[in-house]
Amino acid sequence: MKNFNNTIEQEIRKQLEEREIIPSRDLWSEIEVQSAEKKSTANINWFLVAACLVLTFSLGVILFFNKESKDENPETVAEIRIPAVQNKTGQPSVNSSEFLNQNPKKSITVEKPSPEKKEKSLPSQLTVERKDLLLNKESTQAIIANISKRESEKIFVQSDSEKISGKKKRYVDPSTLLFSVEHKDAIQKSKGKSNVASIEISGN
Amino acid sequence: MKLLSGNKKNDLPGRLKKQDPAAQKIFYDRNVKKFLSVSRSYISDVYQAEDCVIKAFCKIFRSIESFRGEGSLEGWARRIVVNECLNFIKSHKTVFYLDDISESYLGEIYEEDIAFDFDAQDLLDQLPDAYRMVFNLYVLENYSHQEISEILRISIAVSKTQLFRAKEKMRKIYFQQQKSLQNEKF
Repeated sequence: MKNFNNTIEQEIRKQLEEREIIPSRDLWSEIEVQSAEKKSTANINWFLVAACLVLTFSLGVILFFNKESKDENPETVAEIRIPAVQNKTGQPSVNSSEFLNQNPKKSITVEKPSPEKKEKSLPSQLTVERKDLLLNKESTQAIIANISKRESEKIFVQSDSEKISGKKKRYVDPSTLLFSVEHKDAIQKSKGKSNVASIEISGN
Repeated sequence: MKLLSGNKKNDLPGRLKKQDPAAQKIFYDRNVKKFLSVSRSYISDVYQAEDCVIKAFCKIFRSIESFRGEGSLEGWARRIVVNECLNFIKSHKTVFYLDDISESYLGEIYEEDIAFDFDAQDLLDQLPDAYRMVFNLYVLENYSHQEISEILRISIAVSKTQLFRAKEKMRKIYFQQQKSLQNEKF
């Protein structure tokens, strides 16, 4: 390969190394704008990251507390139910008919919230009535004598219990409960493990 | 005052690392013309060459922390300008590299003393992008074929071929121009 002092290659290198080109526009202002934009975008990115972190954290907290509140709901139901039963059991000497007459609304309000509650509250009421009758068991003779007197009350209780039982078309009154106590075969255990005596009305 | 200005000049990389706007302006004023010339040697369109210079300056100021002071600041910045130009060509144009030719053929490069002045940029502008990139990297930036193959992700043989073909084409253009000039004289 021949080597010359002034080849095309060397001439190009010489020309381009010495050359300087004046920009046709203000490049500095554009550099300033671009560098400022990049700085601001970097700041925005940090803000976005921080905002995302806060959002995820708050969502996590909300979901966590929601779960906790859902878990607490069954406990509150239990709390509501237990005192209701206790209040009723706390009056053992009260006659079932009297109890129903005095607090007809209470029994209805307990049943209102949900159909499940309705089913559960009814046995609890019946247990109260049964207890009342058990207390009076000693004077069964007197009760038997009063059965005729209670016929009118029976009708009232029947009508009331019809309201309570609703769709099931079953009702329980004190006399039938007494009957069920005497004849244990008639007593059945419900899902709530409470004794329920259900007797269909024959009309007499 | 001269002493102070001298100290300031020497401390330019340090001031640039602190993102001093005044230092950045000094560096820009000192190098923009040269860097635009470098960019123009790779990109035939002046406006696009200026865009590359803008991007390169932004990159220089942003990544000044990576300058370790081993070489000159201008040399380090020039490499960024060249890289920016190469990236621009790669992203905006489809570059075709022709097949490599035999080593024996590459050795038969015919060179001759030039007899008249010519415009170097005019010659470069007539080269395809692939030829121009390899020629500039080899001749102007003094890269080896090994380095060029790594930068452009081509084989060493292809790099040699591109350089050979670039020189051949330039010579052809040069002699055509010489012929036309001689014809005009007569």
